[in-house]
Amino acid sequence: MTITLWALLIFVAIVLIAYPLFTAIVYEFANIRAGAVELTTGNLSGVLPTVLLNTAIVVGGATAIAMVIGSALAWANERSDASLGFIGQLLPLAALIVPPVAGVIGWAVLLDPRAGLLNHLLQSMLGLLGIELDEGPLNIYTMSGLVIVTGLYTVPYVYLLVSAALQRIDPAVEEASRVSGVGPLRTMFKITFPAIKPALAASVLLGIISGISLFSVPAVLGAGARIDVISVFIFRLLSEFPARTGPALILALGMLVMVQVLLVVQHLLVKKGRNAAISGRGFRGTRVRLGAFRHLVLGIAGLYLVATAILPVMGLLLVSLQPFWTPTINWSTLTLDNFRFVLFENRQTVAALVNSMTLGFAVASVNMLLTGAVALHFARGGTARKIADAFTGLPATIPHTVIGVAFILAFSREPIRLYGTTAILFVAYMVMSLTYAARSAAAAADSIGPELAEASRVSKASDVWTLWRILLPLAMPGLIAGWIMVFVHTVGEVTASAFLSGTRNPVIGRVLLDFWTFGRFPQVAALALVIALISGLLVGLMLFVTRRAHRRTVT
Amino acid sequence: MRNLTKVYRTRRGDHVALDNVSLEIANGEFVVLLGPSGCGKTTLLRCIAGLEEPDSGEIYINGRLVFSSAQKIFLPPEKRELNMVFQSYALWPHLSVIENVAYPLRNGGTEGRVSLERAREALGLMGLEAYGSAYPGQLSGGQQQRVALARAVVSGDGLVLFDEPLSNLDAKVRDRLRVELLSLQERIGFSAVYVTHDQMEALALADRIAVMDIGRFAQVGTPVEIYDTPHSRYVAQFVGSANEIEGEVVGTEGAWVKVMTPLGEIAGVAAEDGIATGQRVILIVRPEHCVINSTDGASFNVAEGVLERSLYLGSLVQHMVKVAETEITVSVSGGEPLESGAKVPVSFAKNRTRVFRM
Repeated sequence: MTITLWALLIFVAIVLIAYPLFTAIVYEFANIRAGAVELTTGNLSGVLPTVLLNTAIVVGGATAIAMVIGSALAWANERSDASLGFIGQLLPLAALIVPPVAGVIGWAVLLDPRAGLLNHLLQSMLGLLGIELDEGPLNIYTMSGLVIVTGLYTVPYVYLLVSAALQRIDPAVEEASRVSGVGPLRTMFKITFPAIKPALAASVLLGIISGISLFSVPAVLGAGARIDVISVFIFRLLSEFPARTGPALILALGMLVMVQVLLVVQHLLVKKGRNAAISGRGFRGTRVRLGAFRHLVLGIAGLYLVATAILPVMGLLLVSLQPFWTPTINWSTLTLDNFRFVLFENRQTVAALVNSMTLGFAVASVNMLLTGAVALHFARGGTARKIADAFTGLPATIPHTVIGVAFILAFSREPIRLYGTTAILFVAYMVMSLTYAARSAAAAADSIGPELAEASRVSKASDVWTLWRILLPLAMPGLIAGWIMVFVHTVGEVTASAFLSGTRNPVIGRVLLDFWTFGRFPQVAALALVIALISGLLVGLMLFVTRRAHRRTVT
Repeated sequence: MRNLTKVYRTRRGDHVALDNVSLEIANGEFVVLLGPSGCGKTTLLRCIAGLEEPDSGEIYINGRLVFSSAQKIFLPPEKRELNMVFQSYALWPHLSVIENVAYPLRNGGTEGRVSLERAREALGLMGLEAYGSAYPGQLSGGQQQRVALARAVVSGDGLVLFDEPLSNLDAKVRDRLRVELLSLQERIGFSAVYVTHDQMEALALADRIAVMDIGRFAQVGTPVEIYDTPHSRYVAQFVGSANEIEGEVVGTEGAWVKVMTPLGEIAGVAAEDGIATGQRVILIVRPEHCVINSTDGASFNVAEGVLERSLYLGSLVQHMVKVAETEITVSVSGGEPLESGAKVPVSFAKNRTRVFRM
């Protein structure tokens, strides 16, 4: 059993990444050298600096926004009396419930300068004040639009990291400051912030990494705004005919190196922060009384959820019910035809739905089985487990663009010709979701106290029986939660799907992009809404399962 | 257990958990492994259970060889005919109380209905018959530990291991369960190996106590032997309180050893071998064996000091007396606090004063 697990682990985590990368480089070696020339002095050298600058602005701006909103909300939830309770749990999941690709399409239909629904509403309101506008007032196809939407979808990463760090601080540290006569605001700056500095630094880096890798948002908004960031630029290079594989591969590798460097920096920063965290006995320290500010804070949290989940969904809903996209809603012409079209009639969408669901199911099951077995089989804290964790953490350091590029270049020719098949998608999705799966499985397994397994062994149960009767049932809720996470991620994946999915192996992410690019707006809205609905239901199920399990096992 | 050794190799060096320990436990005997954290008592218990493997030595249970480094034998826990009670109760939250208790029987091959019947009996022994269909999360700490006890005795193994089972419980619950545990053991007759750092608990429960000190047995004996006649300073200090007086041996007089101390000449009984004239020694006498009055007589040591404070502890009073730079604590059962600063005499019996090498 142990050997099988190691073999599978090494295969999925290392072979499936290393092989395509190296093969791609080998196959395209000649093109790489030509591509380097193109990028530095040839045709692309004019465009490249703009692309890099755009990327820097988007990533920098988005991370800044995410840091402000994310840490403020985390602090509010953990340290003030404006605790968000259930909403606080939903916050980080908002980006899962409405996948970024659906969300950005929703915002695009709301804030399109000419046909945006929300713009139209604002125009009518401004008209009442005597201000007549042809366009706008808001235009999402701008740098600010791109930055804000990207920032919104980066908030969850920051929120989770900063929340976790705040939870780990011994509340007595802050209380000692208050008792020594220092007010709440100064305590926050002098005591709390320094204590979570490593987490803040880590969030900045994580924000940058996810910003660089993000594809769906700039792909939808970039064309209209005529702004290209690096992830979209690479995609365009490979979509041309003939494909400019050299430059694409160089840029992809550059992206990979940049991300790895940032991760090393983050690792060094996080290590130093060990002394700041003291695990308390779970006491909630005194919460800062915000008074009137409390409503402001709750309002901001609510606004965030509205912005990432509710408004886009409403936009999608309204457009999906129209025969064609107009800002003025004619209530009599609303129809369900678009839903019928995407769910039953159009071959592409139906195939994409079937493919994505099947792939989601298969990938989630295989990954959770493998990572679940690893987490339950290897003793927590042992050397074997640490090595296994290092392996499973590897795929998360590879941007999805790089996976897309490497896979398409490596598997488009003999000996392994997988391009255009569902298999290539299956493999890519497995690699991309392995880390999520492993973290969920580890969390599930580690929540089971070791003495529960030991008590089973002294009660005459064998290793296998202990796994079956004790460990698996107790880990099941966590494993199910992990399964759902992987499923939702796979179904909403756009970045690698854009490279690897085509007419022969359609998946939702790719079809959504294509429909958008070809202007089939009501249908793309309907499809995006269907995905949002499925994701939302599954995430709801996940919350239900984990809450119920938590209640039962906590004494 | 014979010649058990276990060494942990860490980055900071080698940590000897067990240092060539040997012990025999008789049928129906209640043995307590007593010692501070890190002395190896839990490691020893887990080695008996099969949850950890010693580096060398042998373990027999009921005459059966379950572990031998020389013969490369290691039986896993489920094959060792023993059971264990854990500090955190270790009840499985997704199984009902009766399913928890019946678990060892079912795994041992007993048929379903019979297992439930015997589980019900075991629960009855602990007074928990009514809770069969409840879940562990619904029970109090004391009740959960009783369920754990029932689970440990239900399959009738001759040996039950205990890993500080009462530490997580409130003081009153602990006292009650202690007595229940003793009755249970007398009634069923299993042998027990019980790990604790609480010396009162050890004295109350044990037929024999094995006091441990960094991987070895400092002393093995009955509670009375351990308390009244400790063989080393370590044991004297760990079990019960100890007043310590430093001095130098000046001679012997019959059974007494005469020691010159800051308090004057004190006579006591040699607790160790090799105590010769001129040697620096430590005299140890327990607070309850001291009195605040100048009992005269050949069999008492007397000294005079100043009362620093009296601590009133309800059932007894602790007087802290400073005698020539040495602090002597005198415990008086049911006594009354005295005024600080008063000059008081302290006396203690010579045969209660034990002399140890420095």
